[in-house]
Amino acid sequence: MSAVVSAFALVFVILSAALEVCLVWCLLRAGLVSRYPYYSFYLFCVVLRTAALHVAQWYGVDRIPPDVYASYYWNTESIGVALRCLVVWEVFRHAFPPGSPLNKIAARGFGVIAFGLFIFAVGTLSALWSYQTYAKLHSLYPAIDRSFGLVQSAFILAILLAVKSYGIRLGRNLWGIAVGFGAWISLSTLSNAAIDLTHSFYPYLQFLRPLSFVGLLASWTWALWEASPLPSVAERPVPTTELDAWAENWNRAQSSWRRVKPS
Amino acid sequence: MIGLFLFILAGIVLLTTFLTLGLQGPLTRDVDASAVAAMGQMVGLKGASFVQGDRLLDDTEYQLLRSNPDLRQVAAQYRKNRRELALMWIDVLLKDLHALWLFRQFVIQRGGAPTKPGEDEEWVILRSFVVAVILLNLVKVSVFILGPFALSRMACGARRPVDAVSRAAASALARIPSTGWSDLERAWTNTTA
Repeated sequence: MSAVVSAFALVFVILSAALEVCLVWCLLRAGLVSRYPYYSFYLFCVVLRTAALHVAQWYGVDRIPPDVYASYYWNTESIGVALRCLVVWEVFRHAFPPGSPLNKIAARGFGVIAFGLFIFAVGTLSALWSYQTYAKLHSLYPAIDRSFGLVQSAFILAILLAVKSYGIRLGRNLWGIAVGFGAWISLSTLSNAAIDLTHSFYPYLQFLRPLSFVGLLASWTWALWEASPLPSVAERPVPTTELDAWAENWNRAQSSWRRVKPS
Repeated sequence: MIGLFLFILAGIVLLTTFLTLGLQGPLTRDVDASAVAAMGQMVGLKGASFVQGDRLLDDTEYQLLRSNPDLRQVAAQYRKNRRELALMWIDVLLKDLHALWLFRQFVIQRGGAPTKPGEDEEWVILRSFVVAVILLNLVKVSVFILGPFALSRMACGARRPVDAVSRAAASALARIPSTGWSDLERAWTNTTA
């Protein structure tokens, strides 16, 4: 079993390193760093962290005090959870650009959703971590990851559904980033809850977690292979007659409302 | 414990939704309606133009006949006929699919190739085609084994992948100026004759 795990770890290390290099190359080649600065910052942090972990592996994990390695690993993972918000913000600000009519329509609603989800994350974190996670794992990380992961994936799903509903063409770059990211965090939420439920899931998690990360990197590489046009609202010309009819009905509704409204 | 179960459930739901969205792909530009109509006229899609697919696979009348013990035999015959019709329809849809594939290649040879470099249209059409063939054959097997009414909702959706391939073929046609469509139609008729 340990030989299988070692072989798998080696494959994962090589694949993830190759995909991360490829991803950074795609961003730089297509000039996407300036277009997606928040996403790029997150990605560079991930790459730096992975590089540091690879250096530690190369140096020999046995030669590093276990406390230092574990503390570095879990603390950077927790910071990564917070940094994921940058990816969500990147998708949102491109889907609903500041100053656009869609932003005016959607910004307040999304603000309320974001605030509600944040309260939900903090609430579930404090409710579930204290008496279950600590007793079993003595680790805050799975609780943080699943609580904030759930709200981040729910928020990004809300953005994607709004994008579909308003007929916005998000483009391959942002669509791939959002969908790959959402699927990865959902899986992370699911797996973190599963290992807290029973530790028997832990061996599967050792495979699933790196595999899902490689999947995320592969989907992002596909999405960013070339620069896609910036998001735009689908061009669906509305016939003038329909537009006039709508305006007339709207005016009629407004005048009826004024008549009914008590002065 | 319940909280953790809810997290697992929410994770599964979200993951499934994201995977579904991923398979659907981003919103793309709508294909020119005149190109779709012209392509339909040139290729003559018999299966895809059949709009009564849902009625063909609707089991209301069958259940009505079956509820009467005296009409059980009639119901069985009705079901058999419907199964044959459904299988014929799926065969025609498969033929449509093949014709669309050939038509798109024909149009691309005559100048309908994607103009922007790096467009992954070929990959998209190949994926749609393979998915459509697999799905239609699955529906065919299910109708053959389980009958026409067992998976009627899935069978009703059998036309959707053919529509996706036909949109891809129409988008290739839309890249050719509409003034050349009549020549193209003649050449296509000669090729298939």
